[in-house]
Amino acid sequence: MSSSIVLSNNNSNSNSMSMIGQSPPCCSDVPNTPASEEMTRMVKNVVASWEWVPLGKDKVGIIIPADQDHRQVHKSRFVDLLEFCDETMKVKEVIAVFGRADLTVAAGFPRTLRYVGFRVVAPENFPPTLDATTHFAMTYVV
Amino acid sequence: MTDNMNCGDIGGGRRRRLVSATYEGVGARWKEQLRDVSLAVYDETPQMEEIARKVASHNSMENGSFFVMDASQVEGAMDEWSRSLSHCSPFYPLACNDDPLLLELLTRKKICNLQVSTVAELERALSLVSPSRIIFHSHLLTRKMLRLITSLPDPLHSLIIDNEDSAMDASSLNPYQPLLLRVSLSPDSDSIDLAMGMPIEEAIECVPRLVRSGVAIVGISVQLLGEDEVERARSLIHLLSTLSPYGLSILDVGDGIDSQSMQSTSFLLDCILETANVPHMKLMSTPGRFFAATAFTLITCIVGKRSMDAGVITRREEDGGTQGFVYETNQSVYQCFSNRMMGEKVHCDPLPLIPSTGDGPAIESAILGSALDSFDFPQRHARLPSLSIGDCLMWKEMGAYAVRRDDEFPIYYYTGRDHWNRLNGEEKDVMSDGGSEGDTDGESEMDDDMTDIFFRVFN
Repeated sequence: MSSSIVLSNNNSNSNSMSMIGQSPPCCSDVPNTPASEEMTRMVKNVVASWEWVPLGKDKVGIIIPADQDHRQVHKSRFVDLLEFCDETMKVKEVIAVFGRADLTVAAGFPRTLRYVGFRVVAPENFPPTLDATTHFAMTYVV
Repeated sequence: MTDNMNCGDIGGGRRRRLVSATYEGVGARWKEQLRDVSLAVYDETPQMEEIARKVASHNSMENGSFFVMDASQVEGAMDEWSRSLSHCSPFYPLACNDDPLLLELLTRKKICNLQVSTVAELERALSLVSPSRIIFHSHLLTRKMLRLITSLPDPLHSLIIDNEDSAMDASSLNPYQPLLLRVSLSPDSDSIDLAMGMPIEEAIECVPRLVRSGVAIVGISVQLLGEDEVERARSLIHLLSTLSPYGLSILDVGDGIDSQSMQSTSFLLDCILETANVPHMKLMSTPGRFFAATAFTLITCIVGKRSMDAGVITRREEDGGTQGFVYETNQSVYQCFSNRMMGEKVHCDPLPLIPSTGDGPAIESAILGSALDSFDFPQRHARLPSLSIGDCLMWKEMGAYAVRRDDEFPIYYYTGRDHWNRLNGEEKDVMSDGGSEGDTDGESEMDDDMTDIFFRVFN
């Protein structure tokens, strides 16, 4: 896609635009509790480079590299992570968070996630702490 | 529905579903009721473009977009399936499109069954059909799902699992729940990902062990169609030949069947079963797009336009120096074009509100979505006549992976009188067959009230 083909933003995308300047999520936002430490272990057990961050009361974000190779993701460990989020972290949604830079959404890991049941989060529905201009998010109800 | 809803409500974040609305024109029309869904019935079967035009012409469309759904297309798809693949039971996946009328039409005859992948979908499916017509297949099957499924009073048709531990767990919770083992036919084990299933050699090793342990493995589930089809067929023959002594009786060949490939797929399946020497195996598949896509057409509106060098749009040097256009439409990949992220290709045509207008020389064009971000390109390249802000675009075959019930998107259901009469006859059959009571009372009413709803929504 050519970046030159972009119209001026004169429509209703005000919610996402208002997030410009907010900090992206990072693992420093993770609380220091035994459950959080176990959550970190579970996340790293799926893929070592993954991180996570709480996104409000009943959501957690799993921060995934844009170039994640689906072949490196162990399915049973991923399911273990979802179960842990449900049973121990007591969250309702797990949100896969990608950086927009270098991400291809119609292929690669986002497409795999879509295939297994994750749904794309519209920019206007992003959790307040997530910057829609720099991140792409997909949600799964556990 | 609120009386003061305006067009901004329709196209923006607060979208609401009209269960149905009808409108003037296209001959005499009546409001009819199929279970809890209203649809417009026309004495003569109308063209989809005519319906879309009539709805759009009543709509100021500045920020509205909507679907029209031709109910007769669903029956056409089921007839086609019955003609060409009658020996292969379809299990339609709710994840593809869980529109209430679509599900009603698919399940009212006993041709089509359902596939679900979440607990919420299972609850919906159980409200429509008996458990014996439902398969559960979650690529992310958790213990919670397993406990729920195995605690149902009656077992489902089958539960698809992809590892030995899940099979043992399911069997220990309910030994009477039939299981299908999901197997990847890919020759390259490196390509196995979250979605595909157990490697073939691992399946050959574990099925005998599971059968000896008393686990109710009744069949296998594969994705037969797609890239490397011949190689997959060979692998499947090897798998079936090896496992046939263990009493497997069901083969699920997955999704991917379309109108063009039905005959060849039927022939391929027969050859596989004959070569593997398991001719009496029951076949099933999980076609989503085949049943859902053609019935739904999306109408959107152009809300922005900009002139641009055609060479930039087509990425061809020879087009440079000529004028092209980039249009912004009022839907995005975060809404109805989310199917683009499933690899669906979408294509638009202009929908002039006055027939026979809107012609003109084809100009290199591109369609942007309303999110105006780098992912939001519903159609990267189109050849369209010069259009204006406020003009409508018509996107055909948008029923698969584009709209979900909880999106509450406006959908206008319609069909012709002939099709309605057939449905009405089937309704009586369902009732006399002990089906649940529906709302159809055999009486029609002119749709003035629905037209009123239409005006309240769009004006």
